[in-house]
Amino acid sequence: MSTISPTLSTREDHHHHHQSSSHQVGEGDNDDGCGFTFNDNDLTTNEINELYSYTELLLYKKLDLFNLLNNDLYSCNKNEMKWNQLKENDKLDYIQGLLSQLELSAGSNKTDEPYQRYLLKSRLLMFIAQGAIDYSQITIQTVQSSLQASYNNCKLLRASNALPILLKSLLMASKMSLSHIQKNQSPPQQDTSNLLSVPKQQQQSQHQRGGGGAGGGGNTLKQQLNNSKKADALMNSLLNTIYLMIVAHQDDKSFIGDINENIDIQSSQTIISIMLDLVQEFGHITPNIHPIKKILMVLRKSLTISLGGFKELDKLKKDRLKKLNYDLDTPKTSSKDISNFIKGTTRFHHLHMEHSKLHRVETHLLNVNSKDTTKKYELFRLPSALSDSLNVLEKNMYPPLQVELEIGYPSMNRIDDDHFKPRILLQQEEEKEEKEKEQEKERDTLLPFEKFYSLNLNEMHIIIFLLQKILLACEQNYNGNINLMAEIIIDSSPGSSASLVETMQSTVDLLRHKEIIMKNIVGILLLLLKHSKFNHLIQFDNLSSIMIDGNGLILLFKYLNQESPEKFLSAHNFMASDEFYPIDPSLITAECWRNYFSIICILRILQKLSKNLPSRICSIAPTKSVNILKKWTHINQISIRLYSLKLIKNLIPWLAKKWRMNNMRIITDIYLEVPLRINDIWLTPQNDLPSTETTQQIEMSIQERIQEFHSVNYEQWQNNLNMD
Amino acid sequence: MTSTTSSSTTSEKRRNRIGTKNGDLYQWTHIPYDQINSNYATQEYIQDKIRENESVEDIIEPPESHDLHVWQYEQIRQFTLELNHFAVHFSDVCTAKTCPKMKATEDWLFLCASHKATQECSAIDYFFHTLDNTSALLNSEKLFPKRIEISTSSLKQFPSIMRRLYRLFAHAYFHHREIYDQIEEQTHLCERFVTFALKYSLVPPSSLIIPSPK
Repeated sequence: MSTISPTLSTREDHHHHHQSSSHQVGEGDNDDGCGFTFNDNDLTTNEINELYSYTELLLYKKLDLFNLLNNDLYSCNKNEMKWNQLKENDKLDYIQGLLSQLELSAGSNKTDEPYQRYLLKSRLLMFIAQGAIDYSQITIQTVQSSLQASYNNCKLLRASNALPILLKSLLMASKMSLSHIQKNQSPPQQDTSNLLSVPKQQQQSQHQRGGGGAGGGGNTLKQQLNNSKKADALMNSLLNTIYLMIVAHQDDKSFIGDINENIDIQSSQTIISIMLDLVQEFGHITPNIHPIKKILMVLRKSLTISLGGFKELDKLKKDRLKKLNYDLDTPKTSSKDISNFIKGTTRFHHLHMEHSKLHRVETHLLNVNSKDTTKKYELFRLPSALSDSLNVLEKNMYPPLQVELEIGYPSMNRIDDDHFKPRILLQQEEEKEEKEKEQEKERDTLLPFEKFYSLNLNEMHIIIFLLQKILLACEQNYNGNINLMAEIIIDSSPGSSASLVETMQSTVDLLRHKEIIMKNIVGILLLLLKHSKFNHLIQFDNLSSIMIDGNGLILLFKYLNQESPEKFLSAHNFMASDEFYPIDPSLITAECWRNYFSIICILRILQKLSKNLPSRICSIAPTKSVNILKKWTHINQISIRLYSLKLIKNLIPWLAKKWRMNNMRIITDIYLEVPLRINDIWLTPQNDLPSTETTQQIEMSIQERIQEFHSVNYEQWQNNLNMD
Repeated sequence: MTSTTSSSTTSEKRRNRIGTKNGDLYQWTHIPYDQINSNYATQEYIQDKIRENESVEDIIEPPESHDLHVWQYEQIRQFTLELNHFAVHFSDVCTAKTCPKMKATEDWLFLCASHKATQECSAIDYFFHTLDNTSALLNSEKLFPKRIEISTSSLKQFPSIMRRLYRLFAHAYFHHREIYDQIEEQTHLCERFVTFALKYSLVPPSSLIIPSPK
């Protein structure tokens, strides 16, 4: 008979002390150790600074967009009035004029006049979105006023319905860019390289073909820069404008409608689907000059707004549990704990006991053979003490039964297969009216992710695979096909090599560029995983198995395998005075926000992927992975500590006794800081690593469930695709 | 057979009976807006005014205390209807061979925004793609679910609609001048369009490339 841990009360105290919720630290947690708070977004000025590379900013400064704007205003209005002197209606008129210029032909040749004029107009729009302030006037003291000017102008752009036009122009620009590449090069190569050359390759879609790609240029920075082409200038300016508009409205709830709106009445394209298409174009056609960093930044921001950010998701989860009166501060139990308890107390199931209490539990918890019986519930009596214990176990069951049914948790021997059937958004079911109404309400609150998932179902594996591929390209010693250099090419005149300052700036620019790309990719992956887990477990299984198939675990561990985590987290790969919004040196913190964010996302993704699946936990030798994770436990940030300890806790059963003896500090920290379940067997040593056969079996059974889920819920709908 | 049967009810008078000849259609007198007893009062009011050959300013002037957004919507709807008739006049002379690109002057080569990505279409294709797209927009349940109330988020569609429709006039003026003049003399459609666009600031003056006759 299983017993409740005798140390429950002391653990509760530690729970409160460390402010841990039931299974994870709340979003926006504040650590008393370091100054980093995990959040959806960094400071707005930093988020905008990350949009530009230093070479790009140099180019814009050389262009003198301030005077170009005033010249254009003069030619339109025939007066000397500058932008800041115009009334709002005149500003709107001018913006309309610029937008109508974006609907003029840009020709087919980038050197011709129509294209140059088109590019100029798009840059003027970008300049307006930036605030229409001369770059030399943006100083440390004027940052806030410049930011406000940018916000005001972005609101005008929104009122002029600029977003659909910008997106259509972006699609046109990408088409032009790709046809330009086709003309100048041999036929564009379909990228056929594998993600990582490691022995374990799961079966994947047609995108994983054999053979490595051609070498991605020389190893030195200079060689790489020389071999690369500059990012498409038109796409740069359009993406900048789009991003600035999104950042200006990211706190405005009404903007969610703009993000989800189709760009045209006769098209089903939205900003998110366009960004996903551009990512696919970037990944599939090489060489490619799409500004991938900007595309990823726009994608992450629009997904955060459309689906809801980490904070919002946390709130949704808490609200869902609150509705069921579930107390988040209590230790969690699982249905297995309850069934084990009931099994262990069968000898007390006695009808005529004094002071016994009646219990009704679902039959599957009694582990009765489901084929024989059609009963949903079983009744039995227990002595009061055992009855109270059972009540506590049931009360603390996580996820609560209601939630289990909603999000498709598979339970053993569940009789009623309908409970396993997930909610279906678009397919009509024959159900009772009350149930339909209830589900309708639930669907409404969870619509964004369900819609996203069902629309992108067929491309989900491609998208995640490509995101991981680009993430791999951020690695220091990467030598594959993906070229991330396009956005940081030095614009030096032919015949002269770049100056020492420019080369130094390039090095910083490149490191910064890669950090930003990494931050956005891991942010997107974590957001999708969290939303899928909240929405339906099998959707989560699908996303996580796609990531595992693409060697996601190994890739993420590569990034965790830093020589010095402290150095990585305090990296200062930026030049404060060269940023778009100059950074006050006195306000620079020791922590690098984006690296902290990336590491926390990576740790959380790893935990999500490998939780309760020993086969995945042990896919990298436990002794190796624990050494990597140990370094992160020293970092004094609550999320990093918590998740690295959680990951180590997963590995403990496969670590030798000697390791435990030498690392009692870590065992103690896990015991104190990581929320443990009742009957958690984390200390029980496992002698053998899960075999390959077991791993394959488990993954195959997950795949079967996923395929069944998709065929039941989406296939029929997809065959009759009739989206409005 | 004429429809001049007098009736005490206004609604009976304002109906074209089956079998009415073309010349005898719409034989009812224009009545003040507040006396029109119909779900489509604004549309009927505007159409009556046009039929009565009132001045451009009178046609685009809304009745007192009329919702301005609804007024703009109905006017744009009316322009779309009339531009469909306008476009038909060019379908013989403006073909993919004669006008392979949608141009006004050499400087103004328009891209058709009715596709996933903006692209070059022949002039006549531009005409019909734009008109179809505009009709779909104006009839969209999502954007304009009611004709008696226009949401502020849908208002921002008006400038882009007007901007694209204007290009039909621009192409006709610069490339099919005789037909354009003929239609304009009869209907003053372009004049009314431009006056309406300027009155409600729906098209910036810099985009109005047809020289003003005044």
